[in-house]
Amino acid sequence: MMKFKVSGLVADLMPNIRLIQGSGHFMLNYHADNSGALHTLRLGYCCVTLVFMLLQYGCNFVNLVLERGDVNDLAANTITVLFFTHCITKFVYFAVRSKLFYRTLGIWNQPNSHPLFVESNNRYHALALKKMRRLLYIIIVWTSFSAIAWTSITFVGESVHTTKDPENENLTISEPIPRLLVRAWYPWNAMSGMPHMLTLIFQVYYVFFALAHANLLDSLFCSWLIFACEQLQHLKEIMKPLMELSATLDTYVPKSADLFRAPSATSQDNLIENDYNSKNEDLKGVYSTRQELGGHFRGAALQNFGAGGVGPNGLTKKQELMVRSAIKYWVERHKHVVRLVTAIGDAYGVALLLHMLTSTIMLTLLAYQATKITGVDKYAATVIGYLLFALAQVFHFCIFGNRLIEESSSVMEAAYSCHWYDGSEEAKTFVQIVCQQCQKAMSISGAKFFTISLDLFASVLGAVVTYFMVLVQLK
Amino acid sequence: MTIQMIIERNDVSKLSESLQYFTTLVTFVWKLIYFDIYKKTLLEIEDVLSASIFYGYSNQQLKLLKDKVASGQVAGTTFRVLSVAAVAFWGLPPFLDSQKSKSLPIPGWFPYNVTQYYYPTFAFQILGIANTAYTDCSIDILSWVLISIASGQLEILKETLKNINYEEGDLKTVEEKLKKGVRHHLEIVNLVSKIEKMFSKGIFLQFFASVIVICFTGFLMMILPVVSMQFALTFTYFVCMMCQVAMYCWYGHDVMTTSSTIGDSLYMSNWYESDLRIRKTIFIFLEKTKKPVTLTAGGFVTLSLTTLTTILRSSYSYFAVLQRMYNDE
Repeated sequence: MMKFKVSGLVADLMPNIRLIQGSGHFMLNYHADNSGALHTLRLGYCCVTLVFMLLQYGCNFVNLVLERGDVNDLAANTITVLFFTHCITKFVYFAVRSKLFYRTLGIWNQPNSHPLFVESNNRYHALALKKMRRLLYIIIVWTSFSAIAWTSITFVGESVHTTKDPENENLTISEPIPRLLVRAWYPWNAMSGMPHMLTLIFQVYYVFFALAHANLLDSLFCSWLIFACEQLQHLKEIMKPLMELSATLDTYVPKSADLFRAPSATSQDNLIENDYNSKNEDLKGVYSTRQELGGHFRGAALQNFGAGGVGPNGLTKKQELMVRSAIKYWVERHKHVVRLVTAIGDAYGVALLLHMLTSTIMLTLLAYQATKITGVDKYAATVIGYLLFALAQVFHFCIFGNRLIEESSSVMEAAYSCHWYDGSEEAKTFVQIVCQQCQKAMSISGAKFFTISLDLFASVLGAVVTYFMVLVQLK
Repeated sequence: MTIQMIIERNDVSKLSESLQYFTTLVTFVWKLIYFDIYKKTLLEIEDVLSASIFYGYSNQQLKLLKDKVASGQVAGTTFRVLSVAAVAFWGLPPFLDSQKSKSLPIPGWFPYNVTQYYYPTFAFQILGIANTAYTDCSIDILSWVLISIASGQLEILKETLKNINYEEGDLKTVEEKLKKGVRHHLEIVNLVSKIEKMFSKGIFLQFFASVIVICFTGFLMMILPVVSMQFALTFTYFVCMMCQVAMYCWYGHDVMTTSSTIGDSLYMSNWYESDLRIRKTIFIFLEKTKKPVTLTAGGFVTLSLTTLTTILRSSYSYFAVLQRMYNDE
């Protein structure tokens, strides 16, 4: 049996992944034991979930078609159908494009590392982990709360709907319908007794799992964005030590100079004053010169630059190599983050587009339904519930998309605000090209049609309010 | 046709029918005129394309170009098939719809009695329409394929830039490769500006006409019964028009997005290993690539997906106005 070792993003997101697998998504990798029997079992579980979801969705749809006579019912049923369209879409989308998701999850499997920046890397990694866990808890609590609220509201108020009186065309009477979470058509009579119980349980399962499907995928997407943002924070933080590392000797003393206090006769470390080094303890303890730069030291000892060991920039050869390796780390790490963000966009962009399309229609209808609220009753509660849930879903990914945009556009500020003017020529050109590159912020786009940011959320919210106002006026 | 329109200006539905065909035909005539005026530019484009900078790339890179051109050709073929279908639908109603026998495909006023010379007039109209549709298609497809060639060349440039290895070889070879990339970029920009010079005015008129045509066709689709031949014709025509506009916007958008990511692909190479002199060249090149290569229609409307949404939105507003007018009658 192959030893199952997880690394990178998969290790960080293991709770997410387990939950996603538990809820029946088609995520069949990342198991310790992937032998034939267990694999088939898991695949079977996913397919059964899919079948149940589709069956219930079909029943909803049939009910929509049957009840299309009454405008109110039509609106209400359309909203329900659209609401569960999100969930079905995400489920099917994941099943179809799971390769892209696996690729994104595997992208951070081999990050580069540099001895100088390990501590900072670990710190931000831990921060990202903490945030991702917190997000997951919030999502779980919210989903459970919504499911429970939905179930409990079913038992409040009358379970009736109005239809035309068969005797008199102009009057409407109330006709009792089964007390279920979601109005649907079933080929059996679910009014009372055993069938009613079973149908109720099935619907509770359906609602809970459908909500879980949609929300868990969204939270996976947002966790990726959290990770990318924290990596960008890490890059911004190490810019300053990097610049100081490359500072010329006569203008500024680099804090890491004591690292180069090697027992080598040609080293020109005539620079240290202790108070500088005390400000930057993190570099001291982590790095062990002899171990890491043994080879370089030997090389440096053989170099003659003329006036004793100092290169053209005022740096020793050792320092130059150090700077170059640090720059290489920075750039490669930044490129890695860019690749991650591109992969996230490829994997989830279309799903976001579909989500926004469905949401737009659903929110328009909800605005219409909201104009018919007459008081604090079950109807008001359900409409407000739907509205809040839909808006919360959009807000969820908009806020993280926005954070990514902000973080990536502030990298340039960080590059500028470190003491670049003290750096070597090489460091200055490095800052030049980095500033160029980071002027354009990295963003996630919904299949190129729109960017995910708080602007999007604001426009959605504004549109809903506008429709509501207009419809209220028209009444 | 003009006279017919003037006679029937009070009846909105009949007017819209004549107007949509009229607009298309007028647009086509103007596009043809512009094509003729700028035909020298087409020769210039061909000269630009035969410059040596565009050749000599590996098979893998050429595959990028081929993919783009192939997709352009698929789009073109689809469009052509659709327009042929539209023309066929145009010709069929007189034969299949017993109510409308002996009526002409395009409403028009002729200085003689139509029923006497029915078949010649009919043939004349059908031939005219078929010719128009086919040539119109060809002009559009030509511009799409040229744009997709430019886009493919940009992809090749991006691949080359990503793969320059600044570590190996001496300074001169690396510098040469970078300079080649810069020259390639310049040539592509040149090519796109020539394409724009040639087709720009025609595309602008096309957009203008498309707004009108889409709204009228949509309006007609609303008032016609669904299962008639007329509806099928109007629907195919609607799809054709949408396709035309959408394709222009799509290819323009494609070039714009590809050219704006040239800087990114240069960044993805190992530039930090390069010499200071090379970095200065990289920097100037990156500054230039910040400005994306855009195609404009008539000089001020850029071809992109945003323009497409604007066109659709304006068509919808005119459509809503028309509907209002129709309901008021």
